[in-house]
Amino acid sequence: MNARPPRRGSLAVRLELGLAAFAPALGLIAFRTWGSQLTWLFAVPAAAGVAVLAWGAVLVVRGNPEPFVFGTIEDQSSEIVGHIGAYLLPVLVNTTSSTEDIAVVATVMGLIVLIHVTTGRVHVNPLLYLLGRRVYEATADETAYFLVARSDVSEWTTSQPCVQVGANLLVESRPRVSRR
Amino acid sequence: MAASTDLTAVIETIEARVAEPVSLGVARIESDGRVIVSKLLLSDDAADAFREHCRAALQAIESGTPRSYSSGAELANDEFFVVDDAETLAELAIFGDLRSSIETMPVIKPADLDHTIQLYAIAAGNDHRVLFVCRTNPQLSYRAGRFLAIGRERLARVGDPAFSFSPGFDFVMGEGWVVVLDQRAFEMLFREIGVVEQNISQWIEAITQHLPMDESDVDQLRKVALHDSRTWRRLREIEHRGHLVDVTLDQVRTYASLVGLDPDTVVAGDRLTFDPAQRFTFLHLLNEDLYKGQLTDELFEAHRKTLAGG
Repeated sequence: MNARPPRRGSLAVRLELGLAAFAPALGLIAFRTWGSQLTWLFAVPAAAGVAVLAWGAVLVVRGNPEPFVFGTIEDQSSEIVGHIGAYLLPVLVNTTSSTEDIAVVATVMGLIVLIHVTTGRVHVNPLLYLLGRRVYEATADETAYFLVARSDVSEWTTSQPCVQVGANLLVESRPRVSRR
Repeated sequence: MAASTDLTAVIETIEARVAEPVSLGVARIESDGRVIVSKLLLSDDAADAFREHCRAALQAIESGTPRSYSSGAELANDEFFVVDDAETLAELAIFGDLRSSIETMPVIKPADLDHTIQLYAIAAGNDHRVLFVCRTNPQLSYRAGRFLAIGRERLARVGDPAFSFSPGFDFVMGEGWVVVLDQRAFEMLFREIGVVEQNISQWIEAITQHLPMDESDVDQLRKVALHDSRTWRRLREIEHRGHLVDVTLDQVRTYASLVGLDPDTVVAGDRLTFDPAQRFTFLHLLNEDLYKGQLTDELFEAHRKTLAGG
């Protein structure tokens, strides 16, 4: 088997998922800098990230589950460490911070998001963990995906219904039987 | 190629699978016969709409009359072929792969669908899936002026492609069987995926190994067969039957005379001769499809052969 990483997906989708992944950190910085002229730099993308997450949830609920038979499934929880730097940034700024300080924080935050978007590591979203989901990298028919699952994947031995979002993200779903 | 598939079991399988998850794939066929498949993501509503299309195909099978896919067979209204011979299924292996792995194909955005798409397919079921294939491009070209009715009373410009997924499917494929609902589309696909091109030489050799032909006649036969499904289907059957092993040119001449044909149009000297305009006579003779009615002396073509007393 020739192992390959998950498909990268379009830049737009990665950007949206990146905003969703960093929405809590962006929200915290917006809260800390509330009243500053540059607050919008954090508030707008944080709101956009929350909107993306909400819309993603709607897409999953309304999506068409397909049966995937998974081969290897690897936990991606260690990737969450990459977010720690972003969560330290709110500590560095507050309402009395200078414009330069806030601009630096915005630049660092932008870089962190950009790196995650470029490397495609935008599916590891701390909010998902708060909602009881975990993120995995899994292969089905030798194709790699990021997998968001709630149940214990170690017990998955048969095909599992998942809703695909974008080029490389699968979200565990409940099996639905068609009503005639 | 008599079908031995239990049709009741086929219908039950389709019915059960259609209620299960479905996936939609679209494909373009390269000039070398490779089928490049992409997957279209569906909403739950769209999946239900496709299930209804699949049920319409199921209904056509339930109410239709099954026929075996023999070389001369032509589908009439409300008829369908049941193909279950290992050789044909092997030739359709590319669709078998699609049946089992459509969900892991690369995703294509609706906006990226273009005129190069040649077919779409629905795979239904959790496992042992059933594949519904339609040889058509689901994208409608923009209408003149690019306006469509929106709401009830006004026209508005349409910026996205409009799609048309017709309820009809050309064939349905399951584990060890294929139900062909549209013969023409099925045979065009058969040719487009390269089955004819890959096998034509072998099919012709099944004749020329025992009954020699000039190279120019072989070329003409090949040319005709590549574009005419009735020709390649008969060549394929001749090869499958393998009955020419002990046949001589004299026997062919005698058979031609017996059915009232001029033997010189089929055999010239020590070789078979092929005239594209007389291709069916040529193939009917070699496939033993011609016979004279013993009561009327009329010449008939047999479109299907079954061993008597079998």
